[in-house]
Amino acid sequence: MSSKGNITLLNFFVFNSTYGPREGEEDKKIMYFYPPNTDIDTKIKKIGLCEAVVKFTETFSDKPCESVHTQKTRQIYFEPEKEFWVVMTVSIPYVEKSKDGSQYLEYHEEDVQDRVYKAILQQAYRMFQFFNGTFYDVLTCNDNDVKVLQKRLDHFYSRDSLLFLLLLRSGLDQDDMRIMYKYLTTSLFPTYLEQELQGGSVTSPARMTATHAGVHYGNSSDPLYRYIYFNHMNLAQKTTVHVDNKKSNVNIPVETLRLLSDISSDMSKNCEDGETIVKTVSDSWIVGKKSDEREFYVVINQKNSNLIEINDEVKKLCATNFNSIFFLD
Amino acid sequence: MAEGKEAEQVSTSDSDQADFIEPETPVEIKNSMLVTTDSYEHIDYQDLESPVYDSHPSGIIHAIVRSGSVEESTDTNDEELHTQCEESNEDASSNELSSKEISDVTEEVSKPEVPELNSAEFDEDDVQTPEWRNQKKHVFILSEAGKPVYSRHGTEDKLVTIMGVMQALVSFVHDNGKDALRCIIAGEHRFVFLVKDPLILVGVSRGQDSTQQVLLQLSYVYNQVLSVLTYSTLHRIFKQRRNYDLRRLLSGAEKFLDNLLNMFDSEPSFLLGAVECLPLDSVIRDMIAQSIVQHAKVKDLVFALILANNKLVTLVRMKKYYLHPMDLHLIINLVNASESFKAAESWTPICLPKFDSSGFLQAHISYLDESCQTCLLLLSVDRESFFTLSDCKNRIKDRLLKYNGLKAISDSLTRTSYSIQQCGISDLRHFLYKSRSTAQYTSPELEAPYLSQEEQERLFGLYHYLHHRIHTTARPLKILYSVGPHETLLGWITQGFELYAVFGPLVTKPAAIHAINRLLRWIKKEEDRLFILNSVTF
Repeated sequence: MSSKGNITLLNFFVFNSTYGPREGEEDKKIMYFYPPNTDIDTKIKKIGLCEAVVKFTETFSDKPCESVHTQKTRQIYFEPEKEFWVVMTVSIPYVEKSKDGSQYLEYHEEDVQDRVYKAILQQAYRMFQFFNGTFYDVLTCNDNDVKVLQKRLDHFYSRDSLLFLLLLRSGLDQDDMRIMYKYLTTSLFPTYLEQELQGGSVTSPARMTATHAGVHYGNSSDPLYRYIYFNHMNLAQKTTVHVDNKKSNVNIPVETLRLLSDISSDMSKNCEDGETIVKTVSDSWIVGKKSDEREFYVVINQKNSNLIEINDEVKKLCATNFNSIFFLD
Repeated sequence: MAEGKEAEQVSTSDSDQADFIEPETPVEIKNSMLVTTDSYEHIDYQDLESPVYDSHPSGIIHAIVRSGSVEESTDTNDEELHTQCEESNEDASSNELSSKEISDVTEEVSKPEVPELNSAEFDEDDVQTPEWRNQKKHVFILSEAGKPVYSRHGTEDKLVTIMGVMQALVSFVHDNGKDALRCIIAGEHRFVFLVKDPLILVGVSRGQDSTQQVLLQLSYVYNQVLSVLTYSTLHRIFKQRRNYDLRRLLSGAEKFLDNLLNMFDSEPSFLLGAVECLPLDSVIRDMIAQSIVQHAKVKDLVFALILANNKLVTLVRMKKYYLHPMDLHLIINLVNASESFKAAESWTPICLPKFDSSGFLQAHISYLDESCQTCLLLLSVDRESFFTLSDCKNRIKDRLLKYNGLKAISDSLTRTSYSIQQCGISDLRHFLYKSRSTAQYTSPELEAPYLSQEEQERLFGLYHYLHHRIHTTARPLKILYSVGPHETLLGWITQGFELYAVFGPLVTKPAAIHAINRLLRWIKKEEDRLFILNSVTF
């Protein structure tokens, strides 16, 4: 494989169509645009497409547009406040392959999971909101001067080097492992972040990163399995799926993490309790359980086990580590 | 006793596929494949969009015609060209208008922001009615110039604006960065785009279908269009006139598209890429096949098959050629959608895109019984052979009457499918079993609690979910066991088969596995009846 493309951040922007309704005023819709050195025509074009997509989906759906998939890119949409859209585009990873002597790129679109990047986008917005208030707050406090909002956005997202961009750049460029991990600890379990923000324990972005990296170590004496447990009610969590940022010590393959996210996403669609057990083509087992507000995931690498044995294994694990917690059998 | 043994098998299994039982494939292939498949098993969903997968003419029809009788082989292409000429003459008068139209469209296309989408523009359209908006699945076909060709719901004329938007979105993404629009997600809605030059197909679904599943359906829809027109004609038309109104050529074919889309909603065969056979004693099935072999030994006859209630009774083929499941589904759709075949023997052209998208086969279609349930299809490359094939049909029918073949078919039909109780497995509610090597599947009839339309759709949604999660290209699975609020699901893939089973929500894992083992054993025992294992050739 001669060349390879990773997931990279292509752009990130905030717009509000009500600010430039007339032709020739399209630039007024732009609240923020990254990368900042993009020429104005491109900005207007990108936003124009988003507007068209949003309108188009409204013809059929009452719910807002969430994402646009193209062969080479993934665009995530988020409307945190009425008429304000926050949009992020990332590239789809690819590898160069050759077939019958001719080269072509094979895009791996399933490596980009909407849910993960939506969480990042929401986080980016929440962080702005945490420090500045909502977009409308900013406008109200400043005589509805949109320039103030634009400045704040620019200041927050570009100058302050913010965590968010760090997260995106570093995360997306070389190590989407870290981003997956971040997702699992902050967004799969969103209340955790919520608590962090509202509880006032976050004083600086640096502190926040530190918090997220500080992971509870569970009983990992048995290398055969890794688990994550989270209780949405009391925010208790316990995990042996940890990533050490410094050593980039990776416990389980990123494919497995993605699968974990798939399973979690499937189960969250079903509001009620449930359990999912899967065996991958590489013969590892993943067990996901959801009970009340509790979620629990185990990855077991025992090639020759069968479903019953895996089930017993998980029961044992629960008994030793989560003695008092009831799980659906 | 037997249970003890199974339990043992379960716990001692250690080989790769022995997650539940010994890795024996219940259905063995004795002969070469029946319907299928070389390329088929790889219907790698990614391929659906790649131009390579685009049903390019294979030229088989030509080859057969040439190798056979040369005398009166009127070339298919000539004929098409002929029709084509008439077509263009007819259009000549409107040529000026059309070039203006083209320039209008190009203007529209080059406008990056997409025609101004003020909501006022949608006002007089169908788009406004709640019934239209609330449809579970929409399918649209439009030309690359944005002209409406087909819409599953509503009339195309009233959907000009929305189809124009679809076209603009596709071309905008294409023009900016040589990219391809694949899908848009909004809430429950999934908008899937498939560009098959010179057509754009769009599916809007708010069901359980994954993007890939909608894509597969769109490829079927595209193939259905080819089946009526052929690839060659479709391309020639749009090469001559980019702005052509294809509805003219497709008038009368809408019912096939409608019917195909309705079948997607109720038949697992499309999801599985497999065909269901009518359960029949293998001796009787052989007799039926032999009747065809003996009485339809006609030069240029490529395929002969009998269908009963959308199920395959038998298939006889020319030695070198296979019938792809996708093509067979189109044949089933043709029969299913047409009442007219019941009135009289028919002679109709059909293009089978996987077989050869460049031309038509001629199909002699007739029902063999009074009640019009058993349908015989004789597909030939010789378009002068109606009377010959009609004779064949009479002889086949006589023989089937004489040896009670038709009675066996109608008996099997009155028993409809089979009840899950026949498998003798109490915890199991329903299942789909696909034999991968033969591209055939079997499934019991739907019983309580899946009797209402609503519950059936929900069950179907579960199967779509199972299939999707297991076949995700980047993260395929061997086993998926999932306990939900209303049922427990099991999906299991091995080299030989795919099994999707539905249990009650309270079943225990040992009970479920026990049930699966018994089911596989039952299928093994019944395989002669449930599947066509012998490939019969002329």
